[in-house]
Amino acid sequence: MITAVLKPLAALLLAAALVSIVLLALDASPLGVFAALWQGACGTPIAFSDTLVKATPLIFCGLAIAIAFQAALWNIGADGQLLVGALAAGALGPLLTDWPHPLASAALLLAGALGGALWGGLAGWLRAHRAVNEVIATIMLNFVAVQLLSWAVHGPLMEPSRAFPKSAAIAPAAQLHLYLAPSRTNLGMVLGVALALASYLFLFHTANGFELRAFGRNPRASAFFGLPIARLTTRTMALSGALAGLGGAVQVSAITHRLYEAFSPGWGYEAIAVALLARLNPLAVLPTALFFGALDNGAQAMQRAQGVSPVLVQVIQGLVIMILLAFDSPAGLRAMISGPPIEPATPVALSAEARDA
Amino acid sequence: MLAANGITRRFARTVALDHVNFCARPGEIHALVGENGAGKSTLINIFAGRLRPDSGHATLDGVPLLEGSSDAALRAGIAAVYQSPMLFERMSWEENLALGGFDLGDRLDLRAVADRARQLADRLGFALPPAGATVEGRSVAERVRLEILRALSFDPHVLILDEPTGVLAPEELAAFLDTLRRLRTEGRIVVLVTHKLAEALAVADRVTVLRHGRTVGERTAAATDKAELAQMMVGDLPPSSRRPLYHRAAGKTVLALDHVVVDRDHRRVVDNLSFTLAEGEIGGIAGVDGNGQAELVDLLAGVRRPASGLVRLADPAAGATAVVPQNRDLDGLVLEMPLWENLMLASVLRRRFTGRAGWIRRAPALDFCAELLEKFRIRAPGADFPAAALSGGNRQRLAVARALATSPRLLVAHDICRGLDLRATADVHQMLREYSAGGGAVLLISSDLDELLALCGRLAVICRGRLTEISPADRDPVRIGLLMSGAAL
Amino acid sequence: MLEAFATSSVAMATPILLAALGETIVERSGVLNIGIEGSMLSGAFFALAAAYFSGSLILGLLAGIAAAIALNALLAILVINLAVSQVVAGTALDIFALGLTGVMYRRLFGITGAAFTVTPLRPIALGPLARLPVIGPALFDQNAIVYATILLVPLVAYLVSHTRYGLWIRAAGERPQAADALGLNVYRLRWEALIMAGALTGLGGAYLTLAYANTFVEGISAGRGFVALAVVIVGRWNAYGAAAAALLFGAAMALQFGLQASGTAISYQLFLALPYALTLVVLALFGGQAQSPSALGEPYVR
Repeated sequence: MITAVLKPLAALLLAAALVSIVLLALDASPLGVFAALWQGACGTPIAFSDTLVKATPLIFCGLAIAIAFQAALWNIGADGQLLVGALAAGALGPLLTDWPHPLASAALLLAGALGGALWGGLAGWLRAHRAVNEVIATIMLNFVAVQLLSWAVHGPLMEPSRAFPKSAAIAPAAQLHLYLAPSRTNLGMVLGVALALASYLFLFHTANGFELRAFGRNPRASAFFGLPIARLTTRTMALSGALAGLGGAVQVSAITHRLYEAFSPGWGYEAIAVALLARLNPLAVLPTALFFGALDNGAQAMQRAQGVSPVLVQVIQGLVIMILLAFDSPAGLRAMISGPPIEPATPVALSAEARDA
Repeated sequence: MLAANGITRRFARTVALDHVNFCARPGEIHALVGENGAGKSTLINIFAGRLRPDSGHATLDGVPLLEGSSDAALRAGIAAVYQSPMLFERMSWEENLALGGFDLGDRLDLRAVADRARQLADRLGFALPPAGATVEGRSVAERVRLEILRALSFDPHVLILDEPTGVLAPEELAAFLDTLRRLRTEGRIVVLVTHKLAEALAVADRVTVLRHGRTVGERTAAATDKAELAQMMVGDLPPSSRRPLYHRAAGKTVLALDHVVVDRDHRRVVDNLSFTLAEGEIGGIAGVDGNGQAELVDLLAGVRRPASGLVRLADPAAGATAVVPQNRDLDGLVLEMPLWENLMLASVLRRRFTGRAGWIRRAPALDFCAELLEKFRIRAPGADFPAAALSGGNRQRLAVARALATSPRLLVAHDICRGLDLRATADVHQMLREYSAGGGAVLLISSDLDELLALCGRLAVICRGRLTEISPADRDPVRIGLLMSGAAL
Repeated sequence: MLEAFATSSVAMATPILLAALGETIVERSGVLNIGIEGSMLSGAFFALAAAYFSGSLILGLLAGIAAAIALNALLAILVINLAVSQVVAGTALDIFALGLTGVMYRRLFGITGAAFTVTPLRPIALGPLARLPVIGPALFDQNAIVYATILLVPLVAYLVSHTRYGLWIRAAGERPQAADALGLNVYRLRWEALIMAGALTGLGGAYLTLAYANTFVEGISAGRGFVALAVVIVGRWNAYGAAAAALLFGAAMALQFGLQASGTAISYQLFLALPYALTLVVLALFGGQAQSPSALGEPYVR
């Protein structure tokens, strides 16, 4: 357990060190930047609650990616799946004015999950049946989703006054309550935690989760033992997309109440770092999502205080992923220098002749 | 002179080579013989620069070889033909040979390469594929010929051959052995790794025997015989029950293959194959790798469909047929997963330990795994440890145990005892006998004639996808060996 | 009209094709480089920054190339020497490059980003050839980078299929163990492929800022690197196929502008989405990876 935490911690420290070098090169103060980040992330109670708000979509996307990556399905499309989920929720939301409260929110969230499932499942289907590399497919779908959203808020979903490119507000009944005003703590966070637990149980304690993990680690053996590869691929990608889409719906329902362009600041990509730092364990996604949420939240303060662009957070994300990969490298840093051994070919068994006695 | 001085080499837990000494002189054919896992392949990989020794060193004419560099070995004049295929499937054969030593001159000239190859091939009596043909469609024998050509293209002082003759037809074999003799007169060294003692004695000048990673001894071919060599290779053999089992099949037919055809990459790999197996029978299909066995196993595992013909199982339900694949690490196990989870790859076991709503019942599954480990004497740290923690032999035992634990009606095993030592092999054979005595049907697909002759009531030989049944009265190992290598009836 | 469309198609195809040519070599050697987008973006930024501060377009080009090579070198360390997951490493580089160029851009040029432009690379008309109908301006009245790209296509094709070096590269991508046994240094071959690809992709990135857009915006590569990956697949891992596929996608991108300009009632988002959707459709139709180099994407540890 201790060693499991040690690697991510070491990766973070190393990333911090490297980022400091970049900052010094850009004539900014690393200590000042880190202090501003800390202050912005949890300096005040309101700041902390905002960190939770920013972490929430990362939880959903992080879970989506953790599950997909466990099946060795490289879902880089969580962003697009989130957008389509948000789109579905934002389209349905205004229509739910006559629905009672819990039902309306539930319907909204369900719509989000279905939208995301569709977007993810499409990429999964293409991989399963048309051998299309899911990395390219999901990235292409990301770009298409962005345009789809843009078209919707400029067109059919545009608010009645047609003044700004945003959608009509969702019905109040469909909104998730906010607690502890003026913070924006909401039920969506609780949902995220619940789903993390459910994902963990699914992956490690159910037969379907086992099949998914076996497929991810050894697709050949899985095929040999009759695991339904095509179905696993499509379903896992749909499940992954559903989680991301749900994240989008939660955003609409609890925070934004409507759709607008540039809805996602890249949560789907950021969640890759979240999932990897969590070593693809759904329970560990909670603290890592919180960490990156804190970074995102603090980044605004960092910009004001130190004049460094918030996209520095992406530099940190990229570095963290690369460092984690290096730590887990099969070749290892030592092998890099001396060269590892190769297994010899399997020898043939002795024939009858040789056993003559 | 090619020499090894006190070479030691470990792989994780196993000592593959233990202070091995070896010496081959110029103008000599030197046979290196030994059982499964004796260390022969490891030694030649060290000579060819693909592996580094942990201690000791290899020398050529007294000069130490640069370790771990195949490029250095080639430049020093050591060329090898390995057991596992080293050809580039999607490239033409000319390109493959160009990557050897035929590609001279400033620019890549494939026609010149083909010409030089043709000259050498004519001298050897080898046939070449049609111009521009890719390696993909070629037969196993053609591939071996191409690899030998490529190795010779380096004009090596030392030519190492790892089990090369298995796939050659008898007339090719004669020409091949002549080639080796000619190389000898040219002053080269030929190291022949083989388990075929007759061939070794026919062509070699001296023979070195390895056993369990140690040099047992070196003999002049003229001064020894098969019996002595076999005894050196194997040590004191436990009495192997080699009574052939002429078991009359009284039970129902469990498996019926009816004119089955499988095509792969435009080649017919299983050619009109028919075979039946009944309850309580142990059937065997003998053959050299690459003659359709893998595809046959895929068929029976349900992973592949025949192009035509029928595969009829008495019980087509999932789990009624258990398959132990040839390559357990690639196809049989998930090395990173714990042992008990590996057991659950078998659908029968998975269902048994899955409760309502798909929930896995861990405790019972762990207990079951522990019992299995005990019953089949698998040496493992515990049911919760990853499969990678087991040695190769114990992983194979696990794969067999898993197959038997699902209580299948038909057990198909491909090279079931490959990589197992004598005790493990005896254990597995006993498991199979008990299982078939209890009414199960077993189909063994293997290149190990000894095993097949000891266990199987029904025996057939597969070659180029065709099956030839051997009548119980006519089980002559030499003749079967010839059939396996493609000689006509 | 048609001429403008043809010219625009070739112009838009150029950076994609440059990246795809590099990636063809890289994938033939067995490496899957998802980080092309990041390399192109880095090339774009550093090219413009260098040109802006030094006043020299040549320096800009070289800086762009160097930046992309540096990023590819980082990928090489990760996926070749450390044999880590190629997909994840490439994605990490994309994110990293996006962040790094963004931070540096805002640090050097502030939020307004005004006047971060240079005199663009001018087209060079090739005499009477440029006056041919349609293909004249499209192929013979472009800037130097476009000409270089057109020449590179047969060059790369020849390198991969007809030279000894190309044979070595292909061997490394088909069966690295066998290549190793034959004395080839698989690590070095893959490194060299990535460096070459870095130069080509960096040139493509430089084209974006020095010739095409004439300024830098964050994320200016806009997924072209990923489209290049698709181009390699659709082009069946050879240079001529990549050229044809790149032209197809360049045309889709050009179509978007043309249709917008013609003022149709169809929303512009459809056209912006068109190249990406088209990529997906083409990949789905042509099946995916059946003919890819056998060892593509598998980490190789000697």
